[in-house]
Amino acid sequence: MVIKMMDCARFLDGYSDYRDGLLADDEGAEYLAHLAMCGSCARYDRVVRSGVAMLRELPELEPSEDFVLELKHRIFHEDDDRRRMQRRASGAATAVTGAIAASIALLAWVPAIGERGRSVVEMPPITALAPASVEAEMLPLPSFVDTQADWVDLMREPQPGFASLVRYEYAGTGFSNAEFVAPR
Amino acid sequence: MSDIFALRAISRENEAQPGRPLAELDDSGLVARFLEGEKRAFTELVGRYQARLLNFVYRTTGDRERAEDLVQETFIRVYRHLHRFDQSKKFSTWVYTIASNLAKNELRNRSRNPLVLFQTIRKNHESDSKPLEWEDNTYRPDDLFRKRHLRALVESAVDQLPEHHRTVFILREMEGKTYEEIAEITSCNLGTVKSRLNRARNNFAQVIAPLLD
Repeated sequence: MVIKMMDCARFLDGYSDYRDGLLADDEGAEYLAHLAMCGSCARYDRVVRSGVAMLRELPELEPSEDFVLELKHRIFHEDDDRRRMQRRASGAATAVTGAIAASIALLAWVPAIGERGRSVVEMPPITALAPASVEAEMLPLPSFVDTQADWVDLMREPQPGFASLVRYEYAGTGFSNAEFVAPR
Repeated sequence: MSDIFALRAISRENEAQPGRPLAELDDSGLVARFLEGEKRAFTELVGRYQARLLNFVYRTTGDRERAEDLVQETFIRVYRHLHRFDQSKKFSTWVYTIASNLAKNELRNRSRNPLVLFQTIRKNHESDSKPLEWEDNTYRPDDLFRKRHLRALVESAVDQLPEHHRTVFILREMEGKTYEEIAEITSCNLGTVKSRLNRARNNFAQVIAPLLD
């Protein structure tokens, strides 16, 4: 196998791959060859390895004695909060459901309540005839006569220089209309 | 299609392995058992990860007490969100991601609040000035002192690394995580992980080289 020579910059660039064993065999051989020849890179590799080894020798921290107890305490409160939220949520859901049911019931009863509460006043039928004065003096005025009206009533007697007020009524509709009628 | 669902159900049942002692289950088995309502499975997970996470967070933040608080918070978040955890993923990666994010937030808050930073430095200084403990009688006092001094210097070399380099360095060198896991934990792509790790190793070597020769 022919091993290509590499320079120090390339060695340092790819050092992590070499250290973590991520290189293919031939590339790994290049790194090893470079390490064998280059004192500076060999020192670099030695420093990293021994430094990391010292770090790994550092005493490990242990959690304090009450760590688990405290955690359990917090989890108890976590569960408690969750239960309270669920109760609140289910209470709110019940309230909303109740409110919707009440609204529906109310809507269902409203027409009946309306029927019960509404008072119907029976009025005697109103009948009127067009006064003779209207017929004689004011009517028919083609522009004002409403031929659809069933009744015509003179609301104000004609005065010299003033308009009269005439009211029309339409039987069966409860609708009326009023118009000023100019004097002749 | 129904076969796929049936297969998934079977594999999930196998994961939970009802009746098998919790200590014999792997992490995914414990997660499955916890989700089935067995609370002791969570305690087992805590037992497996509490020391590892404490050391990881301590090495990242440099504050022991705060590290313990952050690990507590990590487990609370795990407990709260375990039902949303994607069980096709590795539990250890997930739990390290949570701890790493909390440590990162801690460092960010500390840099914004000089008082917190000062308190941390003071606390560490106080612990540094404690008298030497004679942990090993086979060493002579000067050897012990030298060894302890070197360890402290190596530790401080890690502290000197920029935060994003330090996290990657610790995850790889101390926690033995793969590049893919580190990428997931730190939310970076593989290229970034590689370049950060290479730079971190380079900086680390430069700081400690004069001490080790």
